[in-house]
Parts: sequence; structure tokens; C-alpha cells
Amino acid sequence: MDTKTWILAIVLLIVGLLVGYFAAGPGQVKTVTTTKMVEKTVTVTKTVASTTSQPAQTTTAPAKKVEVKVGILLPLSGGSAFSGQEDLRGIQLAALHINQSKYPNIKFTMKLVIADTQTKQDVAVTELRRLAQEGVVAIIGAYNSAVTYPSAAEAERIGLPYVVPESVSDKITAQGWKYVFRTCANASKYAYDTLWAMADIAKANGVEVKSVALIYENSDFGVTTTEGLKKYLSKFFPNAKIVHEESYPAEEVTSMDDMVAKLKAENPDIVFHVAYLKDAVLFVQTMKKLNWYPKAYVGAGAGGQTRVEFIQQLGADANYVYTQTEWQPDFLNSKALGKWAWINDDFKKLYGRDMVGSSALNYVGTYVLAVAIQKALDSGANPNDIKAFRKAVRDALETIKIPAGELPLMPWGVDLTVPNHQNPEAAVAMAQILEGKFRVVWPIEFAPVKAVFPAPSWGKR
Amino acid sequence: MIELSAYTQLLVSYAILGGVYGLTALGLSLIWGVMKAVNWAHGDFLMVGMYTAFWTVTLFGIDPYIAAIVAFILLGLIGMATHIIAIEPVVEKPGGHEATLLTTLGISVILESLALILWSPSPRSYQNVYKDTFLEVLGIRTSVAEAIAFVVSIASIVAVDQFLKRVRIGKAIRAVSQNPVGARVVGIDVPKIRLMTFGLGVGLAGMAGVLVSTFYPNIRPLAGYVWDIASYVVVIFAGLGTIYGVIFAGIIIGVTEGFGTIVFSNAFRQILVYVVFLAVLLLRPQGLFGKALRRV
Repeated sequence: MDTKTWILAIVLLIVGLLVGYFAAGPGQVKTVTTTKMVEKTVTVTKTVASTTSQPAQTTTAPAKKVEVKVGILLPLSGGSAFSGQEDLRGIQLAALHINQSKYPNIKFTMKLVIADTQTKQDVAVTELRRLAQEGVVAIIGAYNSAVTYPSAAEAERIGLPYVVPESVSDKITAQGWKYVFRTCANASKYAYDTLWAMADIAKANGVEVKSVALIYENSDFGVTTTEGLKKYLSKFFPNAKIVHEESYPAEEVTSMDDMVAKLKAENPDIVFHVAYLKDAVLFVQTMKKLNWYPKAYVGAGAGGQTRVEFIQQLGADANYVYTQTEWQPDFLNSKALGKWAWINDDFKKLYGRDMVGSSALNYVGTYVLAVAIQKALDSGANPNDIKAFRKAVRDALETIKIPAGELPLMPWGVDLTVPNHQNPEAAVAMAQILEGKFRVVWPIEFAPVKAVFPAPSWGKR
Repeated sequence: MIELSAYTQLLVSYAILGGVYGLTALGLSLIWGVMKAVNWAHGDFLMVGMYTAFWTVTLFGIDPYIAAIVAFILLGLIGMATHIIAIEPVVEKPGGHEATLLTTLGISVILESLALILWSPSPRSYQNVYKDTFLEVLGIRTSVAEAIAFVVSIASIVAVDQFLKRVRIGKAIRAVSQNPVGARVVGIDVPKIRLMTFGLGVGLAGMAGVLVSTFYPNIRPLAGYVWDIASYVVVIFAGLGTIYGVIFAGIIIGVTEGFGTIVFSNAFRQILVYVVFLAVLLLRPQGLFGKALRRV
């Protein structure tokens, strides 16, 4: 190639990368990908506050308030960017509320330093090291279990507290790591609660479940969730056989006819499907095409089926689908959780819609970390001695015990005093899509509506 | 185990999918096979086609098949612009074909990034009556959307083939592909023909994007990637420069993929396609329907 050609090729690539840089952070968030930008430390509280109609209270906060930097490690570009951005919204709102002194028990200012994992393990580890150099006292992250795991290992190595509010893979808290804490349920618990819910629902409707099928996307998320399902299946369905089990690559799958045809032949009573949005939509569409529907089609692991877009894209065909749900605005109508409605109201003011599971989980994770940081400050630890302060935050995290009802938004509490730092109280509810809406149907005693089981066939809808 | 009727169902389902692979590969085949330029952004043009369908259908409520025509014209124009910016300045230089790989890679990054800025990474799809209406023959079911995509796929391949053989410009395109210098000597405006070929190839990619989007619920900035890989495999499998070959190669790959998943499992779907693909490359490097290159 001659010089001109090279120049043109390089110019085009640079323009692409520049556009890509701006593309990575649509919405309210400025995505930080380069060293220079990380150094600039994004004060997210300001970004969020400026988008609200209310004056930012952060500026009126007493000047004496200690400022503590917290590192956020999320996929803000790449395959999981959509979810990463939703997570970030929850974290930013929590930080905003903390800085606005909405929680009287928390008296410091939280400054978020955001890094993009690009949904890549190596990038996450590098970014974590950079955040550590930035002087953050703890990390919140990193959505994808496959990314959280290596970055948490690195945090453990350098002695940086790492709060995991959403990644579910069991192995993250199975290593005996001292600096890693998980506030949400792990994959096994998701699986446990899924089976518990479906067993309860089947029993309440007088249906005996004799066969089940397990379909899952073949990354960490699908595999670990399904392992959990297999582990507890005999406990809740002692007479049920697994008649079909199959994994598939979610990114590459262009057709699911083969899987649905196999299922149609085996005709299991319940299909448990661990999926992202696009494959969940394609699966239901294909079941309709091949004119088959099990007694219950269950979205396990709170993946694609729990998203609002699932209903938007499938319309009436989404009805009767069960999906686990970490959080629904419905919860705020309950007596115990009604007092947290203001959080969702603030979220609505910012983004024009309700919170979803991932924003709520990340909000809670940020809150728990803030409580721990406050505890560390109260214990007299000096935030300027970063190494000792990280240790103090870790020690404080290990003493965190928040009973159900006192934790914002969630119908469960947090107990990180357990040896593996896996919150045993986190639970996952079951919803069914009825008349185009997610309705909580389990735990049955708290459910406003009764589950429809078995689901009607396509012809009878 | 699955019954025989289920196999027939799958044969039909995957032959249809293969036909659609043929359609997504057609534009690439034209640009790569005929024009000898590598269009790395092929999948991204497909993606833009998908979004064209999404927005025209959801905003204006028009029929997705009218959107296919809109996408063909729109993407044709975008393709021509791309050609002016990224192909024509380099294609005749020494190493020009490799250079098109780099310049179109740049275009690819730009398109994906713009899509991220404009439309967010969330996968979308739109409801339409075609994917919710089903054809049933002897117990074999398919959605109208997929059947139409298959028929359009074959029709477009025949149309493009006839265009290249019978229409004056088509003949000029072939002349340019075979011997650019000779074409110039007999008075063909080579840059103009290349411009039109690229526009046509990208327009076809856009149209394919719309047809795919009618039944495949995954419109997102990186959606082109899956179909992109399938398209490259189909084009190489068929043999560079063959137009009819594309449809057969597409169907073979579709059916291989479908039956591979039954015999093995879904985790093997890509592996099996590549095994067959490698076997063809080893045994018939010119592709199934291509002519072996002669050294002159």
C-alpha cells in the first residue's frame, strides 16, 4: 500500500474510535475509558443532580463532610453495555441520596470513579488496578460474573474491598476471599427459589410435575444457574425427570427451531430457560411457530424474561411466562416496603420510568457499602491512610447486619457476618406475566394475584 | 426421540434459514466476488437495514416490506457514499484490496458506534403480522415472515444473476471484475461501474437486514456480526463470484447447522458449520460452485 492509502485507512479508524468513545456512554453517564479521563474523576453526583429539576443539594452540604472515593467497575460498552448502564443508574441514585443526606446514618460524601470493563476480563482487571491507584476505598461491580470473578480476585490480592451487588456466579463467594462481599443472592439461591416457587405454585394448583427440561445460554450465567437447578431439583420435585437439557451460544444463535422441536417431542411439564433478552424472545416466538407450550415456561436466573422489553416485543405472546424477579415496583405497594417509594419516585424523575431489578440491586449494594464506610469512619479510621482505611472498610463490611425492612427497596435483609460473605437473606421472588404485566405470584402469601398453571395452549388464548 | 415429522419440520425450517443466509450473503458476494473488494462493514449495513425497518415500522406504521424498498434505496446511497470515501481512493493502488479491508473496518466501527449513540445497545424487535401468521402444510409450520424472506431471497438472487448477464450495466460490472484494464480500453467508465456495484451490494445488504428483522428479534448495534460471519462462510463456500452458488451454499450451511444441533447439541452449531467449511476449502478451494483460478 502507498502512503496515501495508509493515511486514509488510519484516519478512518481514528474517526471510528473517536465516535466509539462518545458512543460508549449514551444517556446521563460519561463513560470513562482512558487513563486521562479516569484521572479526572467523574463526580457523578453532579451529573445526576444537574439533570433533575431540583437544585443539587450536594453543593449545600457542609464543607466539613469527608469525601470518600468509590470505584465503579461496569460494562458500559460491549455486549453488556445496556445492563451496565442500568446498574450505573442505580449506583448514581444511591450516591446522590447519600450525598443529599437522605440517610441520616451516613454522613460522608461519596464520590464515584467510574471505569468501563467493556465486558472484558482483562480490561476489568487493568481498570481495577487503575482505580486502586486512584485511591478508591472500595469497588462495586462488575455485572457479568465472568468479569467480576477475575477482577474480584485481583481486588483480594491488593486488599481492596469489593462489593458484588448483582453478579450471581457461586464461585465468586466460594473462594474464602476476605475482601469480597456479595449482597445479592447467588446463582444457587436463584435456582433454589425458582424451584421452590414452581413447586409451591404447582401444588397450589393441584398439578403433579413429572418432567422438566433445562435450556440455558452457555456462558457463566446460564451454566451456573442451571447447575443450581439440577442440584435442588430432587428436593422440590422428587418425582420429576429431566427429559431434556441443552445449552446454546446466545450471541450466535439464529434459530431455535431444533430445541423447540426436541422439547415438543419430549413434552416436559416445565421448561426452565436461562436466557438473555433476544434469545428469550426468539424462544417464545419459536414455541408459537411450532405450536407448543409447556404447562409452565419459566425464565430462571432473572435474565431476559424479566425485562420490560420482553413484554413490549412479544405483546400478548409473553403472557403466562414466569420469570424470577429481584424487584418490582409492586413491592412498594406493600406495607413493609411502602416507605421506600420515594427512591423509585426520584428514579422516575430522572429516567421517566420505574427502577428495574438491576438498578434496585445496585442501589442496595451501594447503600450497604456506604453503611460500612460510615462504620469505618466512626471507628476512627483515617480515610487519608488509604491502605489502613480499606482494611477498616473490609472489617466493617464483615460486621454488617441489616434486618429486612431496614434495607431500602428490598423485601429482605443483609447479613455479611457469614464466613463466605454471601448474604444468605437475599431472596428472589417469582412473577408471571399476566395481561401484559409482571405480577408477583410467589411467595404465595404475599402475592396479589394467583398464578395461572398450567398455561393455556396457543390455540386457547 | 424426535419423530420423523419433526425432522421434516426442521429440514424445512433450516432450509429457509439457509435461504436467508444466501440473501444476507448476496450483497457481499457481489462486492467481494465480483468487485474483489472486501467489505468488512457488510454486517453493519445489514444492521442499519434492520434499524431502518424498526424505525419506519414503529414510527410511521408502514409495512416492513415497503421498508425493505426504503432500506434498499437508502443503503444503496449510503453504500455509494462509502465507496467514494473508503473504496475508490484506495482500490486501484498497489495492495488496494487489502486496503479496502482496513478502510471498511473503519466504516464498520463508525457505523456500530453511531448506532450505539443513536439507538442504545438494547436489543429491539417490532411486532408484525407476518411473524405471527403461520403457514401449515402437512403438519409443517413456518411463519409467513420466514417464507417471504426465503422467496425474496431466491427472487433477488435470480434477479441479480440475470442483471449481471443481460443488462448492459450488469455486463459492464462483469467486464470490470474480469479485466479492469480491458474494460477501460473498450470505453467502460470503471470507477462509475464500481460505484454502482458497491451501492447495489450495500443496498442488497440493507434489504436483507429488513427481511431478517421481520422474524429475528435482535435488532441492536452489533446484530450484524452473526449474519456477517454466516455471509462470509456462504460466499467462500459458494465460491467467489458465483451468484447462484450463494443460495445453495446458504441452504447447505443452514441445514448442516440445524442437523448438527440435533445430532450433537446447540453448543456445536458453529463448530459443525466450520468443519464442513474447512473440508470444502481443503477439497475444493475454489468453493463449491466457483471456477478454479488459472495461472496466466
